[in-house]
Amino acid sequence: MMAEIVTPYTSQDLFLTRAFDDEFANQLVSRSVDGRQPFPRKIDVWWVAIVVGAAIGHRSRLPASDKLTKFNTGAILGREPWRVTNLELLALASEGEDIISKPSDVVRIGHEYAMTGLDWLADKVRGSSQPTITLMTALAEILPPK
Amino acid sequence: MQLKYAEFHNFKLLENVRLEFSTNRSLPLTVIRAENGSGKTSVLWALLWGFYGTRGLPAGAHELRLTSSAAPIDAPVDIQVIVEFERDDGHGKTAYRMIRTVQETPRGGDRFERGPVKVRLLRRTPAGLVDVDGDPEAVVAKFLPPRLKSIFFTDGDDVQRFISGESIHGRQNRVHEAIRALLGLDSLGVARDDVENVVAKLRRETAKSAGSDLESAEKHLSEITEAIATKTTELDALTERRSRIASEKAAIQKELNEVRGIGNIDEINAEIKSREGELARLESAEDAILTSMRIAINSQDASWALASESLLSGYDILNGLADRRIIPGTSIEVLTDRLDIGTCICGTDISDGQSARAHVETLRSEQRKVSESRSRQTQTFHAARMGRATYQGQLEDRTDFAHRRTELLTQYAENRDAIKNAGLRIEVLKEKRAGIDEERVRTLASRLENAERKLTDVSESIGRLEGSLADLEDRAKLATDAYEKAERASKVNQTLRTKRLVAEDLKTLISNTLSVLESQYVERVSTRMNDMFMEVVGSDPELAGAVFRRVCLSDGFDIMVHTIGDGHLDPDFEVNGASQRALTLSFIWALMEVSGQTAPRIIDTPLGMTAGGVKQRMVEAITRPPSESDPPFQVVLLLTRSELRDIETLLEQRAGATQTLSSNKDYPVDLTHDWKVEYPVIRACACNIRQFCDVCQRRYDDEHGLIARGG
Amino acid sequence: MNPILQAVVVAKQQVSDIEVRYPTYHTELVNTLVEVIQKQSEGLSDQKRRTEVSQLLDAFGSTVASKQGR
Repeated sequence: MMAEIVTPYTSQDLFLTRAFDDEFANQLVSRSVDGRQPFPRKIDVWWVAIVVGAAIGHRSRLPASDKLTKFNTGAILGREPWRVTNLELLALASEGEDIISKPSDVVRIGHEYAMTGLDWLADKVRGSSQPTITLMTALAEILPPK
Repeated sequence: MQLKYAEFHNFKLLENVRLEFSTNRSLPLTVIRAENGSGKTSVLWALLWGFYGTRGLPAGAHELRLTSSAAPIDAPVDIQVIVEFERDDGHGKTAYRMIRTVQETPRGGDRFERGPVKVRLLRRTPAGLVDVDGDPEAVVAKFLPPRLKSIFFTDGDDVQRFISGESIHGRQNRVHEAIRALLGLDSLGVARDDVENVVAKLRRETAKSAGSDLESAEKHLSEITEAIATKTTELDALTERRSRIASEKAAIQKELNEVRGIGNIDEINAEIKSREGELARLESAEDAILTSMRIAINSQDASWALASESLLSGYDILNGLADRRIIPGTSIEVLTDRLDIGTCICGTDISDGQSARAHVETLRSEQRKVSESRSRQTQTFHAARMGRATYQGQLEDRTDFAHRRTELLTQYAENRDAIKNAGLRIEVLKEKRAGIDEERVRTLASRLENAERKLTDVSESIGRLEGSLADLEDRAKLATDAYEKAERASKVNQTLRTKRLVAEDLKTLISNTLSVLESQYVERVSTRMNDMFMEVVGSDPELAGAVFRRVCLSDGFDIMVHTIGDGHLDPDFEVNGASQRALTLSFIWALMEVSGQTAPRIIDTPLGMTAGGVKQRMVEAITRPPSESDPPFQVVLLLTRSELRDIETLLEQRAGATQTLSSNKDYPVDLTHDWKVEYPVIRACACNIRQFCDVCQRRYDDEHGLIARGG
Repeated sequence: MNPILQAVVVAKQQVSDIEVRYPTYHTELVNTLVEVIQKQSEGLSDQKRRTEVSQLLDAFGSTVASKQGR
């Protein structure tokens, strides 16, 4: 069942901006168990960037492909199928009920939110030696009011 | 005895200085204002030299040159000290003039040559000044016994010699001596020795005249008496040694306690270890919190919390479709499950044979017919329902990401604080530990052990000696009895015998009188000393917090300080400097008053270490004019400007004479005016404590409200 | 008070512990004491003083012997 949800997306390419990857990958991504760095894998950076972009409520155009770096394909989403579902919800909210039969467009919408989110993340964690804390603290700015 | 004036010529830097002393009964105080290095010590020493010669100078100063160190080499200098004083010898007042002169030639460095000293003591008669009969120094020694000079001429630190110093035994001796000398008990001691001399002589004579039996008994007795005397001296020396060791031991113990007081090193190490363990635990806790934060950021909860608006909007679109039955409200899987279970979601029985079952089965087959896109929508809708329900539930429970985030950040901050505090505490403990010098503790402990061993040894020796003395005394008694028996048995000249018995009677009388007097005097000095000390130090035994209850002289001539609650303090090192000075001055004053001695009391820097109320009361007590029935006295205080501060009014009220001493060595740093003299010298001027002049003015005098003398 | 006078006052009390050899013995003993002490203010050398004290006691002793009639 899980696999079914993810299947349309398995061959989709997933990107981060080169600039972000170069500057922040080491600071923010670490497989090791401790929480010093907030993200276990790049897919997690990508996803949170999407969510941040959605929270801000703005999609940004993707830059030229030479400014992008592919870090994985949609197959990686198999681990957290809820992300696929949520991505589809975001796509529906952005472009209506028919978008859901176009996986590449769903992914495109995701990337557009991600571009916004990556800029915000970069701004908040740049220079921090404690990115997890910095990020947790900064999220207050974009969390909806209670 | 009262000083009238003193003149110093070429004694150290006192080139030509004359000092006048107050002889006014109701103004017994003379103030000599001088800064350190301006001649206070020189004046004291010059007076000591004038009266006693080099032997009168403090130990270590006997061989020092008396000329200024700036005196040119190979040029002889005539040094002279003249002191004019007055004495009441029972027949009225007689004026005397003491003149001591010597020629000294500096030979470079500390070397010098000194000619013979000339001493004259002149008495004022109607016919003019006349040399006294007899040796001038012996006469002066009777007026001012040399071994009491530290009572008459005291320098600030000397003041403490009665109560501090190397050993209790030494202190007791000094106090005992002071009492005996000042209270005329000396003469009784001398009288007793003179009579003892006669007793011994008569015994010998008796023995010789009576025959060999008596002679040998007498000899035997003499030997034992001598042995007793020798052992007694030995015992004194050992007792002195013991009290010196005891003082040493106490000092070491005190130091050891101070070092140990910092703390027990084992305890401190244990605490450090425990705190370090705590710190490690806190750091692990921090890691755990960060890991929780990471999990939270990447969770579905966070997504729903942050993107809730869009996610709910997307969900609503699907929900709308389901409402319009464009997509199935329920998924195929759920329907299949329900058919298998036999109960609908709403609770209706849909088991085999029930009419409602057909309805559900129809729903299921309809779903199968839905198009692919609808199919996808359906899938997404059903998948999203869970997430949405969870999110709503969390909002209600306040367990949503927003709350979790706040919770984790708070935990993190509190943990950080705890880490910081634990770190600080560890630092403090480590510093404390560093203060305990293990090496020093070991050294001190070993020295203490050493001292204890020596103490035990010397105590044992004392014990043995006391034993043999007791033994000897028993034998002396037996020998005396044997002698007297032999004396009676032999045909001794009875007259000779009577003479001996009478001499012995006299000796006994003198001894008994001596001890009664001593204890009477001790009591009177003790009381007077206590009254004065308590007045000065300001302790009211009734007041809470007052430390001193009473001071007194013990029978052993020890100065004892009693505290509230029946404890006592060792005046040597458990009493502070100001109180020590007050104690010693009280003792000296009590001694002088009880003995009725009118020797002058000259004190250099008496008020160092005292301030405020104690200073005021001390000066008040030592300058208070005598009552009608008391003999007159003189007190000369050599004071620096800072000692004078806060007591100017009191000093002015009591001083019958004031002068100032200054040294041109202090120009230009402290002294304002250039005397235009190429060599260092000390000069006196008539300025009192409120004045300055061209000679004595110092840089900050006008700031302290002093005014120019003579305008 | 003059220290000598003080000493005499006390001596007069202490003398009662001494055996009374004849009625006025105590008074005379105290007087002798005073004389012995006074020898110290005559400016004599130690030797001379002791000799004179010895003579003093010698004389007093003779007096006592004769008063005791033995």
